[in-house]
Amino acid sequence: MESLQIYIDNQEVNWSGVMLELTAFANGLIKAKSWFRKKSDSFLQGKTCSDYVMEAITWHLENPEKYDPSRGTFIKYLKYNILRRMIHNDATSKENRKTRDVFGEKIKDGNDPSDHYDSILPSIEEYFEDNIDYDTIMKAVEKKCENDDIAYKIFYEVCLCGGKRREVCREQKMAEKEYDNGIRRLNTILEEIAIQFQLKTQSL
Amino acid sequence: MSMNSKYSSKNLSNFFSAYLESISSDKDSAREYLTAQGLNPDDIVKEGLKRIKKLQLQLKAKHTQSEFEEGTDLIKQKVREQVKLLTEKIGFSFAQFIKQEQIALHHRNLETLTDADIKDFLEEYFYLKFKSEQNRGNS
Repeated sequence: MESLQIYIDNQEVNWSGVMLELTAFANGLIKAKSWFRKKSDSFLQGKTCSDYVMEAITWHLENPEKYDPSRGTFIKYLKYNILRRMIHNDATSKENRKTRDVFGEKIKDGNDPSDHYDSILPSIEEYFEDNIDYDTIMKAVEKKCENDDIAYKIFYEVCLCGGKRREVCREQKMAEKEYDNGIRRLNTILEEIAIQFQLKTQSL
Repeated sequence: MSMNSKYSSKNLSNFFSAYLESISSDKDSAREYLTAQGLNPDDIVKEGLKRIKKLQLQLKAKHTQSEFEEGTDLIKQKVREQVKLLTEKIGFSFAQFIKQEQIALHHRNLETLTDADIKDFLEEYFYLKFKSEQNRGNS
């Protein structure tokens, strides 16, 4: 594969990895926005995941000085800072607003000093409407994953305690692959429950 | 949320944050997720790299153009004279010029170039050429 010769911290960027990770992230984030709807959109305002990914890369290539390596890896910066901000801005634009009137107020447009990963939570929280009985849904998910030890541990550590992948794996002595498979099973359970409660008719 | 509620939207948001982290945690996880979504990871990479390459060339051209705009009057004057002389020459053919100078036109279709595009391209080309000659002279 031909080298693009773009370096970050004296290391050549692996663009194929970047493309894949960013596209998966964008796809998941856009779908989270419309999770409690009958259909899961994979685009916002006429833009596809690839458009957002390219927009984020373009923004970085035009403003390389904005990346501060001391705050996290390059890929996390692209995902949680640039891409997340772009999708959030479109998702909470006037035409995409739902019920809350605080949309857009929690997210700073700038390069805020908090950890890149932590910036995602306020964005996602705003995607979920107030008129849904989260307590009933989550209790049903909890009940359903009781027979799956790994999924239950993840449910407890992630949903209740807000744990991150690395922390959960370390604390629960779980291999990363085990965790990834477990969280996918948990996602399937969540989808089944959403369908059961008629909050969703099509899977992610 | 009622007084007896144990869960809120926060718990679901925690899940989606972790889920996003997991599906995009590395190249293999992302590939697996995208395939499950009915997307072709190889096509995504191929198309993405093509677009980045094109973007790099556009940014490079933009950079050279702004460097030219901000450059010293002497080189700017020389470039403008050269481009004027060349394009006003009877029988000037841009395609012929490209061939003669052995210039590779990455991702550019000759037929779609306007007169302004050609002028910008020639200015960029001669600017880089004269600048490199100047640098060689200085060293």
